[in-house]
Order: sequence, then C-alpha cells, then structure tokens
Amino acid sequence: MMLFMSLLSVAQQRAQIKVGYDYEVNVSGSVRRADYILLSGQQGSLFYNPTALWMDVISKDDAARQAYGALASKLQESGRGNEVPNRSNSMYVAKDFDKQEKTVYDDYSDQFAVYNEPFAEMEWEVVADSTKTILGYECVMARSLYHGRDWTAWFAPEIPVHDGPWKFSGAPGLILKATESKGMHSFTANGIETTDAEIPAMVRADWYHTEDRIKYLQSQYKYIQDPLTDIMGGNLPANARIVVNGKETTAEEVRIASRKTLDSGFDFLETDYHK
Amino acid sequence: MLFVALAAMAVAQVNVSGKVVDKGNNEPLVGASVIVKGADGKIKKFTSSKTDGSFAITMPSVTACRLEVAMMSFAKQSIPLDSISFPLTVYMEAGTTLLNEVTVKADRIREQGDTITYNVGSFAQQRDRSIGDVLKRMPGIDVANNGKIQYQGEDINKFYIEGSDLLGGKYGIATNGISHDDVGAVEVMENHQPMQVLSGISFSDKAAINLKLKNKAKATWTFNGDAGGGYSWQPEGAIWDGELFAMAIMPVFQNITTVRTNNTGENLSSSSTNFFADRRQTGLGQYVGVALPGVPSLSDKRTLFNRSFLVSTNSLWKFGRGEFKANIDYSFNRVTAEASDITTYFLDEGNRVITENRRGTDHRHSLSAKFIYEVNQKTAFINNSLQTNIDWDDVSLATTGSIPNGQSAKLPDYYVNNKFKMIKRFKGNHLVTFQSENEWESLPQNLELKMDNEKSFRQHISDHAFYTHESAAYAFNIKGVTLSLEGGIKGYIRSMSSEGADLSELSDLSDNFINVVNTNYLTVYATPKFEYWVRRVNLTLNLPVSYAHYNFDKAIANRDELYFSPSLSLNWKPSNRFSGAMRGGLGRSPMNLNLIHPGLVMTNYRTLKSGVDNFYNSSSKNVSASFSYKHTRHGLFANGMVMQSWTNVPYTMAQQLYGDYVVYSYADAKNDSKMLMAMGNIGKTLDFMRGSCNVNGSFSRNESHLLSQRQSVNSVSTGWSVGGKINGNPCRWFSFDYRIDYSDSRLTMNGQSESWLSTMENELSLTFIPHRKWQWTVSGEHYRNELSEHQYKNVEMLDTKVTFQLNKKIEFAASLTNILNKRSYNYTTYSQLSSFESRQQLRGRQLLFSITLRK
Repeated sequence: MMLFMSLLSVAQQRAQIKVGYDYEVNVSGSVRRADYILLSGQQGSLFYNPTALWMDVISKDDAARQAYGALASKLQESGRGNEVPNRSNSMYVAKDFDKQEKTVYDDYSDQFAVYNEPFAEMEWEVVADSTKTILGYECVMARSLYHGRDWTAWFAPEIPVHDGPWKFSGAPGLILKATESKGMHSFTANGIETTDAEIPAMVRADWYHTEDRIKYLQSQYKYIQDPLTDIMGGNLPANARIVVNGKETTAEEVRIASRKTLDSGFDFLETDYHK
Repeated sequence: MLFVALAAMAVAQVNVSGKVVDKGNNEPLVGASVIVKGADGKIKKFTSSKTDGSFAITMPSVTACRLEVAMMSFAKQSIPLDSISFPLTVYMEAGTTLLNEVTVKADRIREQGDTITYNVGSFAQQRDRSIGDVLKRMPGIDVANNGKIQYQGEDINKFYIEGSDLLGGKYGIATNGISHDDVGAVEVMENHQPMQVLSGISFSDKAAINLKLKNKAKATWTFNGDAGGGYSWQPEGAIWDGELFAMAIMPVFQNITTVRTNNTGENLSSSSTNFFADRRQTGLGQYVGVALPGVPSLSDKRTLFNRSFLVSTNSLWKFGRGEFKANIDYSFNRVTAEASDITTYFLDEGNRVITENRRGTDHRHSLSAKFIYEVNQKTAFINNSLQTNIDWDDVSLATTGSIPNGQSAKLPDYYVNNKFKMIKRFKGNHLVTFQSENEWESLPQNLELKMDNEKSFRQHISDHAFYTHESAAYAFNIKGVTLSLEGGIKGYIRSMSSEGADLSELSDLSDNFINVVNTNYLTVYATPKFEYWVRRVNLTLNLPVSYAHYNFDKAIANRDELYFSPSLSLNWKPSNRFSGAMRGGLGRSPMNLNLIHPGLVMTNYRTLKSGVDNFYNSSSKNVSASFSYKHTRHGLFANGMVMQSWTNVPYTMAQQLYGDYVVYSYADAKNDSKMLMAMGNIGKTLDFMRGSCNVNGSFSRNESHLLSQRQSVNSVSTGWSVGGKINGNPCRWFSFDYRIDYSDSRLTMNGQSESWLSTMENELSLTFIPHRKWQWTVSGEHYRNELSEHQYKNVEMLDTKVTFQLNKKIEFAASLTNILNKRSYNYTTYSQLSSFESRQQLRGRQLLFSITLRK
C-alpha cells in the first residue's frame, strides 16, 4: 500500500497508526467479508478498502489499466472471473479532526456520491464495567444509536486515538470492534501497527458528486431491488450478455437473486432512509 | 466530541484531577488518554484531556493504582498514585508511542489474479539489510544458501526490477545489494510466460519475481555502501570487508553497478552465479581434478579462507520497441585450505603413524560479458544474446605423507556463444519460430607434478569444441489446442589431444599417455508438440525424435543412433489456491563423449583415467506428481512433490591399483538404479508477532543393482531430513530468528547395513533494540555431526554485533565473530586395528568495525 500512497503527488499528512479491519456482512448465515484499512494521523484519517484504492490508482495509469484489463480477461476466460479484483467494497471515509467533520465517499453501480457529516451526529455512551480483550488490548464497551442501527463498540483506552472503523470516531480510545444489534454488520480489527506512511488523498475525487445521504441511500435501495432496470432504464437489449462474478446468467436470475438478498432481511449500514 | 462517562457517585472519594502539558512548549494537550489502572493492571477508569488539557476522574480509592497518560507521538507516562497530591500536572515528552503491534493482514500478502504481492515492510526485521534477507522470511518463497530463489518448490524463471529484466540469472547482485528499505513490494507472478508472444499459447508452470521499488528509489541514482576493517586471530592479520552498490531505475535507462571485496569468509559467488544458465552444449569437462582439501560441513563464513573481489556493471537501454542490455562482470577469488589426516595402525611391535598434510591455494579470475538485444511484444519476439566467459583457474596443492609431492594445475577456460531467437505471431494464433545457436569453447589443462625425489612430470591437454544448432518451428492454436512442430539440425566438432608424463619409472604403468581424439556428430531432429487447454487443465505431450551420426575418427567405431524421448505432463488448477501437476517421460541418451580416449589421462598425483572402448547409450524413465496450495489471506503456503525414476546404464567405472596409483576405467556392466524422492514444505505468516515460520521435510531412497564381471552389487542409500525455521518481532525492542535442520542417512550394500548417521544444525539469532539508534545482535550456531554410530562431533559458534544508527544515512557497527575462537575442526574415529584423526582449520575470532552509508 505504501507504494500506491507514494504515487500520489499532493503533499499529504502522515499517519501515526494503521489498523486493519475485517468488515463482515452476515445475511442469514452467509457471511461476506472485506478488508478495510484505517490510516489515522494527528489531523485526520482515511478508512478505505485496499483493493478499491489500488483500482483507483491504476485507473489513472494507462499501462496499468491495460495490464488490469488483460488480467481480468485472462481470469474470465479460465473460469476464474470471481477472482478479478473489483470495487465491490469501495467505501471511503475521510475524517478531519480539526474541523470535527467526516467526508463519506460511497458508490454503487455507476453512481458516485460524496457528503459531509459533523462528528456530533454520533454520540457514545460508555458501559464502563463491560470489557473484552481484542488484539491483546483491554477494550471497554460503548453504545450508540446511529442512523437507524443500535451499535455496540469496543474501544481501547490505552490507544490514544479517537478514531475507529467506517464513520466511527469520538470514543475515548481507538475502536477495535463494532457490531450492531441485528448481527448483520460488524467491523473487527485484525492488526494494528505504528506507521509514518502518508495518508492518501482521494485518488478519484473527480468521480463523486455531492448528494444528500438519505436520497443516496434511497436510490441505492431501489437499485438493489432491481439492478438491471436501474442500469438500463428498464430497456435491456434482448441479446445482452449478463456476467456476474465470471458466470453467465440471465436478467431473471439477477432479479431473483437480488430479491432473495432483500427477502433475507439485508439492509445497509444505515437504515434511517426508510421513511 | 461528546460522550457521557457514567461514574458512580459515592462518598469519601478521591478526585484524580490535573492537566496534561507538552513538556516541549508548556502548551496543554487535548485528547490525551488518561487511565487509572488497578494493582492488577486492569483499567479502572479513564477519560480524555479537555481542550485546556485538564482531566478529572473520581475514584473510591487510589491505593496501589497507577495513572497512565498516553498520546500519539509522545512517550507514555505512568505515575503511581499512592502518595500523589492533586491537581497533578503531567508533562509529556515527544517520543514514540509504544504499542503492541499486530501486523495488518490485508497489507502483508495480497493477491490479484495470478500475482501475489508481499509487503516488504511487514516482513523486514531490524537486523535485515538487503532485500534478500527479507525474501527469506516470506512464506512460499525459499532462498537457498547459494542465493537461488524458489517459489512453491520450483525455481523462478525471471527476476524483474520494476518490470525489467536487467540482471538475467545473476539476480544475486540485486538480492544482496538492494536495500530492503528501497523496495515497497515483492510481486510473485505465477505461471509466468516471459515471452509475451507465447501468452495463451504455451503454458508455463514457473513463477517470476518482480521488485516494486519505492518512489524515492526510482528515477534517481541510489547508492549504498559499507567499509569495514579489523583483525582476525586465524588467519592472523588484518581483515577487510567493503561493498559499494549503485542503482538507477529509470523509464528508459537502468543500471546496477556493484563492487564487493572481503577476506572475512563471505562467499561472493551468490552475486556472480547465473541461476538461469543453460548447460553448455560444447560439453567439455575437466580431466584434471586437483582440488583443495575439503572443509568441514559448517557454514562458509566459518571455513572459507578467502580474498575475494567482484565488480559487476549492468545496463539496460530501452529504445523504440526493443531494449539493449550489457552485463559485464569480473571477479577474483583466492582460497586457501589446509588439512591433515593422521592414521595410526595399532601393531604388536608398536604403533605405526602415517600423517598426510595437504595445503593448497586456488586463484581464480573470471571475466564475463553478455550483450542482449530483445524485442518482447504480443506479436513478435526477437532476442539475440552474445556472451563470453573467460576463467583462469590456477590450483596448487602440496601434499606430505606417504607420497610427498607438489601439484600445480593451470585450468583456463574460454567460452563464447551467440543465441538468436525470433518468434512471430500472425493471424492471432499462428506462430513461426527461428533459432540459431553457436557455441565455442576451449579448455586447455596443464598439470605439473613435482615429486619429493626431485622428479617432475607434466601433462598438457588441449580440448576444444564448436557446436551449432539451427531450427525452425511452426505452431498454431485452435480452440484451446496448440499443435507445434519444430525441426532442426545440430552439428558438433570437437578435438582433444593430450600428452603426458611417462610414469614407467615410478610404477609398472607403461601404457601410452598420448591421445589424439575427434568426437563429432551431426543430428537432425523433429519435435512434434501437442498442448491442450481446457479451462483449468493443461495437457502437454512432447514427442522429440532425432537421428544422430557420430564420427570418432577411429578412436572407437562410428555410430548411427536414433533417439526418442516422449514426455507427458498434466497441470490442473481447479482454483487459485490449489494446483497440481503430473509428469512422466522416458528416453535414451548418449554417453558423455569426454570418456572416449584411447590413452591414459592423469587426473591428479595418484589417479589416472582410461577411456571407454565402446559407445554407450543410457536409458531412463521417470514419473512425478506435485501440488501446491496457498491461502494468501491466512499467509499459508504449502507444496509437495514425489518422484520416481529408473535409469539403466550399460557400463560402470572400475578401479585398479598399480602400486601407489589408481587407474579408473570403464567396463561393460548392467547397472540399473531406481530412485524415489519426496519432499514437502509448509510456510505460514505469524501476524501476532510480525513473523513467519516454515517446516520442511524430505525423503530419498536410491537403489542400484550392478552386475559386472559376474559380480553383483546391490546398494541402497536412504536418507531423510526435516527442518524448521521461525522468526518474529514480538515486541518493539526484540526480534529473533531460529532455524533447525536434522538429517539422517544410511547405506546398505548387499544386505549389509551400515548405521544411520545424522547431522543436526541449530542457529539462533536474537536482536535487541534498547533505543531506536542502537541495536545489539547475539547469534550462535550449533552443529552436531555423527561421525560413526553414536559418536558425535559438536561445534558451537557464537557471534555478536552492535549497530549504532547516527541518522538515516550513516550507521556504525562493530562485530565480533567466533567469540569462543574455535580454530580447528578435529575428530578421531576408531576401528579395531587403527584410528583415523582428521584436522581441519576454522576461521578464528574476528573483530570488525564498519561504517555504512546510504543515499
């Protein structure tokens, strides 16, 4: 990762700590996991998926983009399409400790949204007598009702960083684990290192446009209900080939699959968009 | 920021309050963690300092409690609260925040399709210097003692730096020279096909390595070097160790130049060996074999008495569609060795002692130059490489004892080759290949022998050969099937002549010592090849057939031979984690033509060789299976291989004694052997301590049946070995490396078994970092070699090194090796009638001061 960071031309602030998180989404027993990294420094931090950052970096380099295309088609041909690196986990959260504000970059399909949110929207209530050891650190429990979900977080008072995975921050120590009451979404730290790496700037900030958070989530929900209608405005050509994770499929199967996801109770990290 | 700490209110409370201040500027510090810990070290209460640096915690009691204040970029403060009055001002000093680190998984090893990316920073330990040191710690990658790199049990087929193949097979220059701090990531490309034109047409089961440099090391010259001097107790005198490494990796120009010299026992051959070298088709071999006395099986730095110098400069220019490379190396190596064997015969009339001392020196100069032009594109591949290697090897060896003598051999070697290859791809899946290879070598050998009685003998051998190979091939691919046909012609002309000493004065050997031999051949061949790709399976069938006419100019009868050596391989990769392969083949091959010489040739002061009377072919069969598994997320890599082979050789070597002389000759025989070999290897990252571990094992059994002159000899040699290594960095001030290897072997002849003999080697190294500028390493080795059943020779070696890092560019070090000053490796074995004592020298204690500079 150090490598990609150094590719960025803008002089950036340095991180003091690097934390790796497993982000897990458990939809009725089937668990999907993704890697995220938090690089946190004195003035700010960035929470990102390393593959998404890698893809964003190569999207600016013609030679690298071609190499990626060759790799993708090679994997696709040999029936290993599901191994093609992709941006399916591409959320970025940049926090500014001076401004006490976070900037969230999120996307689905070809929609890229960015919005700001003050730290104050999240409040933690410490449950001081509940402790747990994570990565060798004694962690204290804190709870927060945040944007529709009931979150339980475990933070390490001994790590003097008021940061955490995703949009979490503001606990009196680094948050190493966060789970919500439905047991669907969770973040768990898998590693922690001191570092002096540069915090990367958003590589493709140019792709995102400002959007209201609630409106963005509503449109994303609509997309999930029927991805193909959303992509083609409902006018899917009759001879269109649909390939999902390297496997050829049909429009109907895609619809059934997304309905299944929603029927099994899946919902986003934030659920306060349901009006 | 807003949070509510629920603190139970009670009477008779202690109000732990105060202020956190930056000692440097007396400014209040906001957001510091303020924690009260109980006697058990558990967190009792905590808060963060407010905007004015203040904090307040109410506690029922603070008996045996401590207050800990932490903030990033400041050293942690820990204050016992028993006799403290409040409010308290806590001064924080700028420093490193010490955390118990656990490596971030996502970053250590990543996988993108067939490329595995290892993050160098997360594998490097404090005492590592070069990228080679770090490669050894990466699971899945194995670096042998000589510097050769394997990935999942297979040799790599290319070593790139920023995607360019600057060094070819001499990648040891890079692994030994490039500082690990200049490399961001190591990429392993599985199933790497170096020729783009063959991609999708010809399968490769080999992997390549690419070093991705950090930005600071790109588009500029980087230098690093060190110079050291000191004193050695054996050999007594001054020692030196110096190295200069310069590198420029730019878009259109690359250069790596290195100069290295030492007399401290460091073997530089890992920097000058070409790991991708093809076997020379000139096929010459030295008849003269004057070798230095052997050294004990300890590591080189304990046994090598050397003066070594090496300079290598490698450049690459890219222009247009192609690139031009020039690699020029020169090395000098002077090695001395000394050994004594004392054999005592216990006789009734008293002991008889025979002592043999051997002392020798080897001077070797090597000069090599290689010029390559290459175009490597999707539709065309052109490569021409012109190479020359010149070696001068002078050995002198003095022997005292039953046949006191001095031998000196001059063994220069001159070699030139030019290889041209062109591949053109057209209409998408049709390939045409042309190849032309020409090689020439001359290997004159001079042996001079001076006996104690002032008599001297000389032998001169002149031996040169020219080899040429022209071929054309056509291949096409339809629906996953590649069919190709290669056809060509090979020509070979060799002439050897020798004239040597007449030893009739010394023994009853009166055979002639004059040889004039020509061994020439002309071969035409065709190789149909069939490759079938279906999704995750690749099947390759090779059917090479050749016809050869051998002309031996009356030395032995001329021959015409037909050779057919089919082979089949199957590769299966059901997922990106697992791959398996099965191979099998059989074939017939001609004998080594160097064995044809009617007269005698002297090998050394007491051995002579006589040639074959017949032309022989040997035949062989082999089958093997291998697998590899990886789970990059868990940092787990495993591979295994099992192979069985059968060989049939229709001749054997016989030895006859003439007085003090041994004459080796060849005789018809039926010599069948069967070999079974199995090996496995498992590597795993240990993220909790930023380390990794590895376990390996191997087994081999070689059975041979020899029927010669109605005598039958059955011999079975069996051996197995296990090894393991582990390294880690469990806390900021400490890291360690440990390695153990154990092997056991036995020889059985005609049902009579000798005992199992084992060797064991342990190596431990501990590094302490009491302060970020200081580093102290203590390391030791223990060897336990079994000389005869239950009789062991133990050797312990102890080293230490202190390093002081003045700044990022300058470092000073002092090292003391072989602290215990073990100077010799002696052992004695006893039999009923005699004892045998061997004495060999080791490098003694050595003190070295050095300075390292980086740019």
